[in-house]
Amino acid sequence: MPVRPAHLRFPFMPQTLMALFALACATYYSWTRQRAIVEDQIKLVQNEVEMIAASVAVDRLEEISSKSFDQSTVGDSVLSSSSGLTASSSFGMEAGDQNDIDDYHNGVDTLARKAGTATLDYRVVTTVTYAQESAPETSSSSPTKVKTVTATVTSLNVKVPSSVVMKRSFTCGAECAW
Amino acid sequence: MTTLLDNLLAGVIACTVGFVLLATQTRMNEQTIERTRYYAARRSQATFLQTLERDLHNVVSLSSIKMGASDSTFSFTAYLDSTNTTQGTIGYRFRRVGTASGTPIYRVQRQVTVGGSTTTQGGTLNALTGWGIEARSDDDQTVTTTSDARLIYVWFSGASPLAGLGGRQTLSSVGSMHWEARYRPPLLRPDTDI
Repeated sequence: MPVRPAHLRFPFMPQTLMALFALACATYYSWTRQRAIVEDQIKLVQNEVEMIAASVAVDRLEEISSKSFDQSTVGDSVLSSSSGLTASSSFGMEAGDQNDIDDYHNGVDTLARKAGTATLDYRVVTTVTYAQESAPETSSSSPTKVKTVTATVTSLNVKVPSSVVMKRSFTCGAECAW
Repeated sequence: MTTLLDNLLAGVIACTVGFVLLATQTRMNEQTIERTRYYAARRSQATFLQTLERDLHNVVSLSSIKMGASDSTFSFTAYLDSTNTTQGTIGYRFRRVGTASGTPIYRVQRQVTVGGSTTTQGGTLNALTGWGIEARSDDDQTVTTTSDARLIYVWFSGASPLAGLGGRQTLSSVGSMHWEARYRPPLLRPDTDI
């Protein structure tokens, strides 16, 4: 049987083949690392978008904090019983100004915020419920001295895993004298 | 000849592999630094915001209307503690601390004056690219006297990963992370009794 010359025996150019295999491994490693870096960067950007969303929620809750507790306490009127408060079923925008907390119920607004040279739009959904006086995190179907406002802010430009939800409870204070 | 070519090609490919690994490692190191800086900045921002919000909610009266220029101070009288009625003068001093990538960098220091003694208590990192604080009327308009002020508008911007949108994202470049909110101190409302 004739013997092949050394340069034609398998493996043909063995060092090149091994180097190519190493290159393939390095390319795969580099690709997976780059993908992880990009995912990490996306998370940072989402975090930033959520932070701006938090500022939008704070803005909305601060605005609501300056309003009267109820339509019947506008102008510091004092109520002697909870029957004078607006029923939950009547929450929502009334004719005229938003002058009390429950006027913001089911309100949907779009607010813009700067982010560098770009402008990001956010949708703010506000809901208002009565809450139990002893446990403000628990809603109540009947009127109480506490209203809990929930502002849910969603980015309209950048896809983020979840909306920012911020809650704040407001008490009636001296206007509710019972 | 084949052996020579084999060695030559293997050498070129090995150099390429080395370059790919080096570039990947460098990028990973940069990313780690960026992430660390980002979360440090975020923690600092959260602490600063918490203090700022508490101060603004405890405002009794304002001494300033507007502040935005470098090395100026926005000051007001406020309750220093929610558990007692100790009042003091709180000033937010905004000053330039240098430049980064040609952009001026600022920081804000919180200065508290009680009984004639002023101390610096808190502030931001040296990472702000802009800051503004302004007393406004109830309908968000500029006021000329502090007695007309009903809300305090605050904004600031700083380093952010958003800075790189559309290009390379890096915290090492100066960005423009943005925060703005309008705080409504209860004691600035005319119908609030002390």
